[in-house]
Amino acid sequence: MRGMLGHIAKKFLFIVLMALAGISSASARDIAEYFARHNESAQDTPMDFAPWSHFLTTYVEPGINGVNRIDYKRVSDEDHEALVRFIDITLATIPVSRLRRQEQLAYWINLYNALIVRVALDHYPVSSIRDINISGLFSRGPFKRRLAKVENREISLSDIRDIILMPPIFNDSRIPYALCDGTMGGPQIWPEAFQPATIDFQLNRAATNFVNHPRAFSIEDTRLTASMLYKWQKTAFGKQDVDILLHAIRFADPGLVPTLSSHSQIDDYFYDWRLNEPDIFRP
Amino acid sequence: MSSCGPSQERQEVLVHFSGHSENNTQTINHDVFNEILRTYVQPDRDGISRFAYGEIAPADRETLRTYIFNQMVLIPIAQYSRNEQLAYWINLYNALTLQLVLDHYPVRSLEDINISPGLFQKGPFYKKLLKVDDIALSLDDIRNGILLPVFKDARIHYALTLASLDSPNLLPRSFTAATADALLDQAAISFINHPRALHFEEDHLVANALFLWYRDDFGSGGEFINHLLRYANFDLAKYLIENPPVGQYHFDWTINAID
Repeated sequence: MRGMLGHIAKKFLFIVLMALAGISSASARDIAEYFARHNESAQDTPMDFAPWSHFLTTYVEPGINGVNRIDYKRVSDEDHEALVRFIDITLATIPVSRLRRQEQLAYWINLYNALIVRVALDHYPVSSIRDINISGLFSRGPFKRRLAKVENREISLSDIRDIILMPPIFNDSRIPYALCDGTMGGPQIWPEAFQPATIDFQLNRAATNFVNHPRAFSIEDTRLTASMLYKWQKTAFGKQDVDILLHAIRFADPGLVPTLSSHSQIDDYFYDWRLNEPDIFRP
Repeated sequence: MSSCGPSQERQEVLVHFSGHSENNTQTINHDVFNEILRTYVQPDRDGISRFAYGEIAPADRETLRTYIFNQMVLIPIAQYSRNEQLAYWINLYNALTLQLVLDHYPVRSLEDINISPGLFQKGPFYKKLLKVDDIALSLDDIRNGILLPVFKDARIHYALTLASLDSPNLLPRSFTAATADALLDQAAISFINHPRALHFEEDHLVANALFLWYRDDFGSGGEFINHLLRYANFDLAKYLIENPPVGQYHFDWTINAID
């Protein structure tokens, strides 16, 4: 009797899991297909990132460890609401699939970063993005929850990061450095929006800034510790440790190059999940 | 920063030490502390003053201890004039900080003197170090619970030592009621015009973290720039009037000992 019930339960669970897997993969394929579209002969599309830039110049400040912070605590209700409108109305109504690639890139980066800040603000005070568990039972953090609607498609942070901004749609290893996860350990937030006209400069700056900070690579004794980012984003940086190191050397300051080139493997990975807010400490 | 301590307790500290009596003409004698500073503070060629922690005579160690724990703590400071109070609290803060470093010397950094209660507080700033009028006080209480709320004068931050290379300089003399205002100006001018306080990189300011920690006192944006312009020399002022943003903050906690 017990065996029978167990068998039925297992079969039921199997069906449910298959159904879930079926739903998510279909949707992922749809997103990948739909947002692969672009139009390189499109005219300049005026995209108004001004509300986002305003938010960033108001609330982003340098931290004394060299990582920019967002002063979530100081964000006024008005500016919080303006951010919600920027995501739900301004960005949601841009026909992103009909833009040029470069415009799309600025669009997706700004959307990703704005969504992170919004979700942090919606749940503030919170000590880590990872504690915002709104993605269902098996997934930590907000990354799998469909937080935005773009051209009537519901998409999650992880759809943007891992599907849209990755090959075959975008093939640029600097992109992960432009995405801020609201953590102390990840790439930092910048005090201005990404703009199509300046995006190449902004991506280089973001890559250089991250690679040369100790949260990306640090040496203790002879062991090389790298940011978890390099483990998570193997599609962008390369599968082998050597590929990752060669990638990083492209953006490394002269002082870091010998360190990276004298290692052929990464010994440890590290990531500081604390929310990227200003330090409470003061003397 | 309400999270820095129970605010009820903070209120009591402020209420009690807000008391003052301008009719009280008594003065407080800081001569012994003055003598210690005069002897052991050494202005250096790099513009950063050092303290000769390693060379202090046992008798002077005892004098400093006595000054703090037998003399200053017995003064009913809430019954003194504002000017006496200002000098008193600044001297007490600096004397306590030196006392802490000497107690732990050799020590690499004030941050390593980890005696504050609570997991997330670095350094000694939140530890109750003495009682004045039967009220237990920490360095944080003196700076952020008394000096700034009572005197509302941002120059005070330039007079309080953090015993480190990026700290405002310890002057080679103690504060007195009569000299406090002039010494605060001197401290502001000396700090603001030193590169460890402010320097320029490309189009932005690289600023000392003091300006981040106490931006509620220094003001932000144009207000902050105006504060700096009051004390800036010509070379600094010509950059500041462009109203540059702060792009970076830093603080070197290395102890300001003589090498």
